[in-house]
Amino acid sequence: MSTTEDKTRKVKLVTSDNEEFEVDWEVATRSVLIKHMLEDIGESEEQAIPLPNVTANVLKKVLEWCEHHRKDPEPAPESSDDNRKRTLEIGDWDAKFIQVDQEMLFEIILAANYLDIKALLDVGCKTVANMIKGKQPEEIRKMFNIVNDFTPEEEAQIKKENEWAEDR
Amino acid sequence: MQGLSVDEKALLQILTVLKNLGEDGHDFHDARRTWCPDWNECYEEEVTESNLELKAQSAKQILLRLKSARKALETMSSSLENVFEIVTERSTESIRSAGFSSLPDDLLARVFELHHEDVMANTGSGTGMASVSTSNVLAQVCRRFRRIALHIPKLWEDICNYHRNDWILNLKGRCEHPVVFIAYDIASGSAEESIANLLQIVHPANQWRALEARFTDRSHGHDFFERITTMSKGDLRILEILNIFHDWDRCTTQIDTVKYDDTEAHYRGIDDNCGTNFSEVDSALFSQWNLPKLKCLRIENFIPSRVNCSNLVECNLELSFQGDDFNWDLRALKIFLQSIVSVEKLKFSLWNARTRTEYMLPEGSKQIRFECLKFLTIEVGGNTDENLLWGLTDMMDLTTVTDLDILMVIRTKKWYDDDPPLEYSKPAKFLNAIFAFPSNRREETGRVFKFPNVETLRLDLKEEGQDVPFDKIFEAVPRTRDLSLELPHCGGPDVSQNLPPCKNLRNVCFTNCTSFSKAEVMRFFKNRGEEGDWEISSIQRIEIEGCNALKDHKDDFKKIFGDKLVWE
Repeated sequence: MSTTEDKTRKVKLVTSDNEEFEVDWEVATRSVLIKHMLEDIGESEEQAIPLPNVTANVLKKVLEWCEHHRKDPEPAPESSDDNRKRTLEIGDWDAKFIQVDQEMLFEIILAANYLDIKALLDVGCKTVANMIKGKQPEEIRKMFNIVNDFTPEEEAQIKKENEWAEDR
Repeated sequence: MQGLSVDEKALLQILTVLKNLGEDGHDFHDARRTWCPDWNECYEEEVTESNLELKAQSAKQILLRLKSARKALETMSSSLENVFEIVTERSTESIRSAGFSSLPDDLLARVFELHHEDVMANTGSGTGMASVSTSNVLAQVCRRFRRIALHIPKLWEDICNYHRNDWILNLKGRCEHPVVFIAYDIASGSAEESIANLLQIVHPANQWRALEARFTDRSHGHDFFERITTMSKGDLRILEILNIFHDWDRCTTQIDTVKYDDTEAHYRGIDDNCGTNFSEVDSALFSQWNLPKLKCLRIENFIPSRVNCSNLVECNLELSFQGDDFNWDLRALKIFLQSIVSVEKLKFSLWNARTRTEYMLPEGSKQIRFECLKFLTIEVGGNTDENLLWGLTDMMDLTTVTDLDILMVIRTKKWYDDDPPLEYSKPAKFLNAIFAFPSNRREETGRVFKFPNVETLRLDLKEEGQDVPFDKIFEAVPRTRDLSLELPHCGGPDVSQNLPPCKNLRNVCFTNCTSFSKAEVMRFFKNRGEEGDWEISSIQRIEIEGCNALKDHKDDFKKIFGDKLVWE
């Protein structure tokens, strides 16, 4: 639970390329990783949090998301027996935010995963899933420049399976 | 790739310039001197008759040298541009390839799962489409995609009898706890044969996560219950979801299309007017199923007598009929509901559903007590008999309900052109049946309100020009905290309706209440006497969306509600 003092506190973050960012505690703690690190170092405000897996240009983008979602309620822990079906819908602001090139998109996903920001990770993964949606294997390969590395035997097996998958 | 050919002298000159530039601290202080250091010698001197020829020669040489350098630079620049384009294109491809390969397997699996869930949410479970059309596509992209996709059982869980046996075997190998879908309306071949094949392959039933069946003919329903009971011996120990849909066949609106043979024992007990659309034999078979983990049960168009599912959380029951000659037995419905008292969520969908006097429960009969019931949804439409609604809502003790959702689609749900015209006042009658509290109950229980603990009320009525009995509704739900109304083309509360105060009201949402006036909106909030002195201090949020008649009053609402107003 955050206190009023926490909300006015500033947090220093240092990226892999040695750039320093000073952000509000409320913004930084959208990341569960940073939150836990802050809990570990306690009141020491001067101590910067090193983020060796995130570069400055990616962190800048991630912090833009955290700033916009600073007031969002904390997500409920995922339950293994959760039967609710999630769709690929993304809010308007998030959809605009994630309109970046593929390189940045994957960097954001990796950063969200490393920093443990579930909602941002979901936005990134849903965006990739949306890019895949309704496409044929060849279209997916072309879109993401994926090499078809199946052996002729594997290709034959896949062809056979496709015949099986047809309705009676 | 194109080669690069540059005049040697020009190249030497460029290199000299670059060298000079380096010596000058990478800055052209005097560009003219950098490019042509002999300029001064040539031009600073005064022109005389004796040096005129020499100067002209020298100027020509300088100009030639500069032209040659410029040409070399242009050639190099063009070559650089060409290479830049090629490298940009190739690096983008590499970056794109690196993108997916940079994602660890668990994140790629997450992408696949989200993709799959979206497909399931849009096509519905039990259609078998997800495994064929989407999961199978992912498994054909590359070896890595295939490896990851094949290790996510959820992607392959949907197994149907209209799949070929080889494919069913494939799916069975990829998912240990399948969702089994049985359809009797397959396009070709015998449904029974395909079902027999399916059940043989996906055996044992005690490993199924979900089961869904859809049939039109009651003989198919009997076939389904008999097969499942025989093969499973009632052991469905991990089944979490069970959906059984008996669709009406419009072409044969009689209750049963079974070719009766009175000598066959299993059809004994079927009575066209049984009021449950379910034979005693099938009911007995169904009651043998042991469903200790069942969480969600959906039933359409039949009423079973008893279900062994002590941990059921959610039950959806749809009762409909397309003709006028079938009546649902509320006494049988009560017996069924008594077997699922553990539910937290109940949903009833009634479309053209009817009952008759002898199927009604006696007045004042004991109500069913659901200990955990919190969410109640009632969807009602068509020519449904309001007495059925009265009987349904009166057979249950609804004091535990906190979330009440009412959806009415009256005429727009009309299925066929020859359906009889509907009574104008139907919606008001439905609302009255749902919210009014019979006087005998009031005396018996000492309670005043039908839904004393409802905090969230959502009312959605798609029927034009209706007068909604707001006073009756709010009398029944005195603790409403979150109110959501979607009442297109319906009037708001008029002066004659004395709305009881909803003291707990915090969040109000008017969506598409296209005929509501400002005065009608404000009647939901208590006026403390003076003009414009509304009791709204406890309101946290008021949302107005798509209410055309209120457009001109946006500023007035802003003045009254300030930051609490969300205008869409």
